[in-house]
Amino acid sequence: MRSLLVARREFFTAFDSPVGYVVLALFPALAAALFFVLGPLFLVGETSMRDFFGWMPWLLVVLAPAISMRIWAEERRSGTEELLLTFPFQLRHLVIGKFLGAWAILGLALAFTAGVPMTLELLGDLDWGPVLGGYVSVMLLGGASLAIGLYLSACTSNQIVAWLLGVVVLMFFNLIGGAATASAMPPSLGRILLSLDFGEHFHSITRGVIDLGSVTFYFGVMAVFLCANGLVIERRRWS
Amino acid sequence: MVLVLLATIPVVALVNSLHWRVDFTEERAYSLSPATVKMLEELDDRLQVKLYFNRDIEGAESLLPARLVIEDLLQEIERRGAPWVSVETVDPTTDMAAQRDAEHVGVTPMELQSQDVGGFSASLLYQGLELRYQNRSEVIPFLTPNEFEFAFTVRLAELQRAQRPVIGMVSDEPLLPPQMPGAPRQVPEGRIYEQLRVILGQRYAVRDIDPSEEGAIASDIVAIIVACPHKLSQAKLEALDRYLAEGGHVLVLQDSDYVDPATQATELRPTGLESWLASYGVVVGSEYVFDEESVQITVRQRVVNTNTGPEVVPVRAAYGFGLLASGDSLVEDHIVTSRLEQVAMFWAHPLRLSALPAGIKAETLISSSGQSWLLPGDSSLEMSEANTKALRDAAYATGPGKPYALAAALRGVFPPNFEHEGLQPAEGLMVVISNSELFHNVTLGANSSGNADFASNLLDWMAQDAGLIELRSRGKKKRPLLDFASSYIDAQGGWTQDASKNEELDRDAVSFRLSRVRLISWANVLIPVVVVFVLGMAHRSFHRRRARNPFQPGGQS
Repeated sequence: MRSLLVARREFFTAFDSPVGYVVLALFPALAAALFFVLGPLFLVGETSMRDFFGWMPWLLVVLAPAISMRIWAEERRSGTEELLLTFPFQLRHLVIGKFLGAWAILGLALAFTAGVPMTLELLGDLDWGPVLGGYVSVMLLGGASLAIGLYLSACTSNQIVAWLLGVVVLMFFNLIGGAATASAMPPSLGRILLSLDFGEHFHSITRGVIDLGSVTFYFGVMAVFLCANGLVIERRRWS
Repeated sequence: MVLVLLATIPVVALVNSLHWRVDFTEERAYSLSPATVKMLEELDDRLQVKLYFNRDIEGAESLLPARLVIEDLLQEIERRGAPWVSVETVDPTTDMAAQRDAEHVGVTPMELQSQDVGGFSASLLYQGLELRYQNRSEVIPFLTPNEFEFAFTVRLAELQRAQRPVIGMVSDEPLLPPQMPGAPRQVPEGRIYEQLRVILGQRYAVRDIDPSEEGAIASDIVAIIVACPHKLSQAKLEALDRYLAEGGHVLVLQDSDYVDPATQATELRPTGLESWLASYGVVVGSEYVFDEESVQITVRQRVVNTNTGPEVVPVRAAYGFGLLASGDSLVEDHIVTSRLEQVAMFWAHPLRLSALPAGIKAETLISSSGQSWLLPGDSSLEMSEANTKALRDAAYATGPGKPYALAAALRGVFPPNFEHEGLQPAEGLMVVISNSELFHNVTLGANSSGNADFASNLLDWMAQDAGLIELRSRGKKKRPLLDFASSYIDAQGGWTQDASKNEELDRDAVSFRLSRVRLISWANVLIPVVVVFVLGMAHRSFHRRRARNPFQPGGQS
């Protein structure tokens, strides 16, 4: 409940500055532009959102750190972090609350892309299973990306540094699968790297198959980085 | 927090091992099909699955995700078939015994060439599977993830069945000579449906029969194909009549003539089935169906000057007698045709269904497109530029185009046309195709996927093995986007007989399509931006109002 109070505050604070609106407008506009204008939808002539979701990991590489970069770095820069830590909340409430607030912003941005499946349904016979899987997938991938972004935001007081670090780390998690299939890689290590690849789990769900393994992978990443986030704040509190 | 951090990795690993998943796709495309699950549940003995996979796949690393899909499906098979199914993976590149086994059962490796610092190197890639059940075995020499479940289920069905079902073939083709030991079997010229036998032979035993012979239509026959015979004798027709009246399943390839695909020479070929079919309300016309949806043929060569010098390029033209049935031409709600991509039919005739006997129901399976016309049976079939144009002109001169039925299925209790002693009437099935060249060796070779899938689907359906049809067509369901150009042309009343008007209509349709595509694309890009902007302005003005009234609840004080 206390986490939800923090989440609510975090959600609305994001829209006190234009950055929140820019993210909110940019995400669906870019996704639609890549799909309808630059993508081969009308050339191929198939009612499918496969290409739409195919772009999502790369959009999130840029946009998830843009949502999360401010959250801890701004508190630290403006000196409100100490004040926040004196509030009658436990640290886990703050960490989870801030994460949920950021996740809700991503959810809202994603809701603005609802026009895309509706348009496709009007133009053909859309299979809604992969669409549902795709949206669940984006939320899970977005959650994992935000948890990483929050951790990096907690490590620095500079928002730009937090964003840049976020982009680099997310690129790593999205490209690790490519390295897994490289010729120099032993197959056993390749399998381990492939199981850590964000895109591999993402595409498994966007097919329309919600695999408990992939879902737990994303929640596991969220748990690991939120805990790391908490440990960073905790260490700073007592140092 | 440290505890959560430490507990996460084993929890993720544990949950991963459970392999629990939900498939939300409409056709359950990524789960085992009901047909496979049913077969696994019916196992009453040990099924050993031996997977020949080499661990080191240097040079084919891109196959790793595909291998994971296959392993994932095999794990599900093992789970659904427990306790009877066991899966063992062996590596023939490191295990000599496994290599001998692979060679012995027919799992052949793919040779891979890869380039490294020292030059080219070759390696072997094993990706096959052997199924062993009740002292019998079946092999899939090389697995691909897309076809894996179908290939697995077909082989499992083979193992579970004591004997292959038989398809009887009635035609005038020359018989195969006896097999000489050690020598390849010679297929005599004129055996024009041999390719069809090969395709069906993967699932059935295809037997040439003379239905008039005593015991020729045995109880193991699941369907009979009557492939455009020449003047079928009265005795054979009587036997077929009895088979159908007693609930048999008959596929008739009925044509008034035979066209040699190589030379387009025609030969009138009355089958002797005409009046028998007519008694069930089925008449195959002598005209040819000319369709705008047709194959492109090379009519001549042209020399073009390019940067690299003169180059010979083929000039192609649509050949209206080689129609391509796709989209609406393949009936959407029939299991045989619903997920087919395309069927090519050369020199098809119209199939007319009228005055069906009481209790017989007919359904069309394939028809020509809405832009089809009938041309006389003595039209030139020549595949030349001049003839393609002349045929089009002749077709347009006959008036507006319309679709014509080309294949239909009739079901019900067929009243016999002859006196039969001790007849036991039952519901039968007859499929009539008004094109004898549909399953010709040449057609099946040229359009292997569409026509072969149609033949397999049709016979599986007639043999009442619908589960396999679903499995074969899984993931192939077409979901086309609305074609703006076609809908525009339809809204304008369709193509006319005037070529210049057609050109203008084509131009307008293309520009209509472009405008709609732009409108849809930019609307999807800009509407969210506008909505966010409006929300932002509303939020801002709300805050300003609150700031002006600081003593309102929630205002600044």
